[in-house]
Amino acid sequence: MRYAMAIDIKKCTGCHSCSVACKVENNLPDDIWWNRVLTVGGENMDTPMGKFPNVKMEYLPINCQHCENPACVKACPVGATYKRKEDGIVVQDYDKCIGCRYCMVACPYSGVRQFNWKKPEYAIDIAMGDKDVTKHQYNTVEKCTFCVHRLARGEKPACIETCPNRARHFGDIDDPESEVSKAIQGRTYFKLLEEKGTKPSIYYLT
Amino acid sequence: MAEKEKGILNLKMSRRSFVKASAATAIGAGVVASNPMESAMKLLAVEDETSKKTESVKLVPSVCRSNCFQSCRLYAHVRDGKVVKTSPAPYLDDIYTGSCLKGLSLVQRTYSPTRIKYPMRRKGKRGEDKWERISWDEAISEIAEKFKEIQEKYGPRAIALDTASGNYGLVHGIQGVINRFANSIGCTKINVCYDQAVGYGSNRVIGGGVWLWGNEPRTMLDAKNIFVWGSNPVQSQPQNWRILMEAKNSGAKVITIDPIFSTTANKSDEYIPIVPGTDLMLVLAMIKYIIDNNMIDAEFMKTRTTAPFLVRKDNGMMLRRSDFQPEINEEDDDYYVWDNVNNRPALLSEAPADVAIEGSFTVNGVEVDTVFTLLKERVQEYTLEKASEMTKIPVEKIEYLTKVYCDGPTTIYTNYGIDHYQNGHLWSFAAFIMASITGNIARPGAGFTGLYVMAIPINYTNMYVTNGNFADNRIPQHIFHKVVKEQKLFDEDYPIKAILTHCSNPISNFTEQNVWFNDIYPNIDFHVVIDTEFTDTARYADIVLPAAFWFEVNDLRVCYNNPYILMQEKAIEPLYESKSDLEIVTLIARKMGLEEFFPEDCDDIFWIKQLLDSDVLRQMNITYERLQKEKVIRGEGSAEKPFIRGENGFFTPTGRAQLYCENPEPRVDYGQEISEDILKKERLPYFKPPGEAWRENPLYKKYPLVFIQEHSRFRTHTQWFNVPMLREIDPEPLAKISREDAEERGIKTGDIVEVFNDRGKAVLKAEVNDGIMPGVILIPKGWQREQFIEGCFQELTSSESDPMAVNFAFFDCLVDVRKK
Repeated sequence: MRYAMAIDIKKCTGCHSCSVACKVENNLPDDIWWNRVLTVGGENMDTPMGKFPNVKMEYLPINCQHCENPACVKACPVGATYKRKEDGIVVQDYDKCIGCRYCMVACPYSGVRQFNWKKPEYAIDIAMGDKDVTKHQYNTVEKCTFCVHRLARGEKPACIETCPNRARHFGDIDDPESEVSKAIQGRTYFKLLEEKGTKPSIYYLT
Repeated sequence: MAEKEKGILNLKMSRRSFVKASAATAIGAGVVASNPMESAMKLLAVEDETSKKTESVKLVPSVCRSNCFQSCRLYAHVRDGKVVKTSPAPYLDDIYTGSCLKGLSLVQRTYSPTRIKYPMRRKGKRGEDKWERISWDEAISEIAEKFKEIQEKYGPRAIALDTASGNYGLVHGIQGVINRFANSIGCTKINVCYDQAVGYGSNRVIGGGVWLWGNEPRTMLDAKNIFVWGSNPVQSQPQNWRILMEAKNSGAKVITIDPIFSTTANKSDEYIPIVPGTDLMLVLAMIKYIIDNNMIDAEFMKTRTTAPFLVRKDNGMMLRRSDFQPEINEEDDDYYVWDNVNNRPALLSEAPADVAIEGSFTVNGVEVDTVFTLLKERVQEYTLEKASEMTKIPVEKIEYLTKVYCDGPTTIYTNYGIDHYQNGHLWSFAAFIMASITGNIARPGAGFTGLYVMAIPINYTNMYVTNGNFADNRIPQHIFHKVVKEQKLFDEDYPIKAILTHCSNPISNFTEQNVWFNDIYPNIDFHVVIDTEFTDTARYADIVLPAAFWFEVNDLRVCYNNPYILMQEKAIEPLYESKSDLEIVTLIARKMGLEEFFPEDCDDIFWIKQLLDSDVLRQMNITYERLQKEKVIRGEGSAEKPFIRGENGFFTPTGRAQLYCENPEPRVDYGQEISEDILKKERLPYFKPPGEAWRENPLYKKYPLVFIQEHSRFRTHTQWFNVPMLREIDPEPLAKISREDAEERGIKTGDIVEVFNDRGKAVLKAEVNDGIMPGVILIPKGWQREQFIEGCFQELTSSESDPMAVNFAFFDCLVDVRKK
């Protein structure tokens, strides 16, 4: 059993709903984002490349790739980041993390791991999202968990449930009947930086 | 924060350097899970946790209520008396289920750090943003006293109610109990000039007033082609886009016509750039091409349109039975057509087997033309070459577009982009005529969508009628400042001394912002704003009252762009000292002596029941009891047979699509001058250039850029302007400039620039954007004054309106830009 995610680039409109759903669900501190949407195009968000009117842009939603062969795990000196044997999720244990950020250097997917440079701050007074998410800690690295707390209840990750374009699919890649396996079937896809040998679990459908 | 966030969120990247894509086709798996029992065991564990979970979190049925023309059904997740999350709640027809990032971020609007918490009174100079906290008693007494004093001294109309689209709840929002108050005190209710032109134009053809022109979005699935014209649903109506995309994936061709390479254009099969404000010329040329090449649907024209009706050459009126028999009753009157079989005039009721759609005839000595003949004559001057020269779309491309359009069913997906020019109503007038002569309307997959509103017979009378007084709704928003400045409507004395703002942010949303500071505020005594945030308008008020947010009240909604009516249940108590709009209005009304019409115990549930209390609704099986039980009810159509506008006849006097408007009347008659020539001309569509944003305008030499206030993903008009998490993604306003215009002025991305004209300026950061046509500049709508370095985007726009449509023409605006 290994969890994987498929993101349909043809359907993604770069709307950031996944980013926001993740932020709320996991009560992410200000300035911390586990799920971001990059524009593949011009210099800024939502700008295309080319010469008007022959221009084009694409979107690349990016979160932790939950690699089969994660570079971060090898880099962590204290075992705070590890891959769960039972489902392949790469998790981060905040209690063990010593804030050395070796994992961030080792991870080829810049930005998916984020660091609490200061004591976590929140724009509003109440804790958003799910009560089962782990409390954020100063001087620790954090990232997408595939919403393990939701999986434990049989729910899908928040970003899957909320994508307005229904471009995101999730499930057990080892199960041919799972949503993610079915979404991939017959489609072309790419994975990010495969030459690094990390074997990411996010499939970008094209 | 801006700089840092740019680093985090908007990493500059190229696909080549980062992705190194290696495409592969998935092999059909066939891998068996190592422990088949594992998932079953997991499921068992899951059930346990789920039941525990539901004990602590309550899902309250809710709905987003802003004016994006979507109506996303939501669950408010309530834990320990707090809304901790919002998630999409299902509609019966799953195609409509979903929410955008705005709906998902509502927790931060509810508990916004800048939310208005208490009644506040202005302490410093107006707009200085200095406040003192006051009690509700003080606030209500002061407001009631001032309102009464002003009405006694200057007359009832001296209070102007400004209400707008900040809340589509039927009790607390724009259509709600505020109208009961306005009618009771007989004040001025400023006539809304937002988004009126398209519906005003379509009403001439298919009837239904300003709002009832669109099909249910699901009908797009039956379209062969979808023209996205003057709209950007990817950003502005993401739920509609999902349906549009499904239509595309099922084979519909999607063509976007827009001056901007929008995010919708990016996802379309084809993008056709067009010079701003020339869409009208394009549709007129398409009509000519359709007629010249006999691409019309003659059968549809004969049976479903007024094409065969006869128009008198002498007075331009349609030939009726009463022309020869003036004594007959109105209900016995009838229209003449030309019987093709017997080659003689016939009354429509004689049901001639075939009628002429073209030709000029003499009936009892009266010379007439068919409506279609007049239309054909009218469009003769709009050649492909002329249209191409004006729109900058190649001739072959216009031919191609027209052929695709006629090879229907074709749906035109539009909203109010084209509406925002002074010729907007003529575009929709012409576009609905084009649909009617090609049979591209009132059929599955054909017609228009983008804004679908249901005609549900809500019992507003119960709410709006009290003592026989009614608010005066004659003053349109675009001349409000002139009336206040002169305290006159033309020659008529019309003092206005106080404004009550509710669900509205007029300083930011009316055109020509500086009129508020120069013309309005120096001439009024008192401004009350009811809101949840310190908007531009709230900052200039005398008293600000904290409104309860959507989750803090019960309300009823008739949806936009889906076919549902639903309940919004109160999820939490009003936060801080906020009160519901209903309670605030009731308090003011009672203090003004209107206890009779505003009993203390009439809560929002009472009013929901009142609104639903009608025999027609009961016949439709739409009742409070059913809503209470089911939460959401389909109002018309079904998933199998979605609602198609005009399928069972049009809401016109003839029941047909009317290609000729006998008596063009302005949308609002406030005493404006309209020449006989214009009135005659308006009987058929014609080309009228944009009022300002036009290359032949002498001002164009001084201000060569058309300024468009783009709608962004992050705000609906000005709502969500200050939601912390959204500002982390989209931290500041940007002036988006074409590469050509930027280079000409030495502007680079990140430079501070001033966008300016004679009316005002906005100082902000520049972004060079290759998706923008040279000659066009964008600033996304909704940023507030304090979010600009200086000025504001809305200082730039003009309050000029077309005298017929009486509508804000936001995009009909010329500016220039310079590096600071």
